[in-house]
Amino acid sequence: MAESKIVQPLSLEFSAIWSDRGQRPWGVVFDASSYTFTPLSDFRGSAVVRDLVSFSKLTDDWDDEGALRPRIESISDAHEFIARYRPVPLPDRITPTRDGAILAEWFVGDTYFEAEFVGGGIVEWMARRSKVGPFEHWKQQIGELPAIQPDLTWPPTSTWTTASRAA
Amino acid sequence: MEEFDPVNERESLLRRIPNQPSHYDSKQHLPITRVAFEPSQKDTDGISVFRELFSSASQVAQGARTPNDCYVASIYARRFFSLDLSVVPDPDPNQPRGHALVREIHTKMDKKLRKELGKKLADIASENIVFSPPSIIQLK
Repeated sequence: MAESKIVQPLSLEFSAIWSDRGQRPWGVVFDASSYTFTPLSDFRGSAVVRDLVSFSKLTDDWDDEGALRPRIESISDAHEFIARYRPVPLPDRITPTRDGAILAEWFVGDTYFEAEFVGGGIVEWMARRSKVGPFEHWKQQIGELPAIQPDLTWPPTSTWTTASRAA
Repeated sequence: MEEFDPVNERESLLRRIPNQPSHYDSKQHLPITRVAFEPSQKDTDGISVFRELFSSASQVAQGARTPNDCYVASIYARRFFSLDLSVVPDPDPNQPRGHALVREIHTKMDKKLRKELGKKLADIASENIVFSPPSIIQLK
């Protein structure tokens, strides 16, 4: 992976890491120095996680407009991303897309970030730094993202309570 | 004026937004998501809009598969044109009058462009919601 550096902080709390080559972002990380880690027990109860679980119950045509049911692997990838990169703020909104993927969105002032979990561990990012600016796209495997807490993986539901104590 | 007549840039076009959190999220400043402007599997020839010259917002909502369980947003045709999108009349006896298609947004288009257009249209639509589901209004 190319050496990277923080080129332009997007806010005190949310920064993008940009690769040296072509200034294309390869990941989005949270400035952990100003962040209080969310205990897993609180995390489990968040609306985002509740929403993700509910998506697995949707069936084809869930929107009455012909949408495909969310793919389980997309839901699983979204879970893994949120758990693995817990210092990244929870998405402001998380929704299924009409073609079976999961879309997470962050609104940071005028900056817009989205991560689309399309399955196979692939995250498709899209970002816009201002309301009228150009969009930027990049794609990566979940495992390629900066490992802030590499040992933190999404535990099975039955172990959440135990895991939160361990955390 | 006939339904087959070309769409004028000053016309108002109506888009149904399903009353689903994935399409409309009241907690956000821009409540409509780009998912609301994504083509579904059946949208192989464009996504649907309705010309307000022929149908009101309530008539468009009434024509939803679950009548009235949707929001309706209004967007001027010129906003579509400025994004290099065309709006082609497509009268359909099974739909409210004034049905038209945004031809360039379909299932086989470039995905990055589809996402960008969806986000832009969602932001525009969020600023002009002209119909809300009666159940939502009652709750307020």
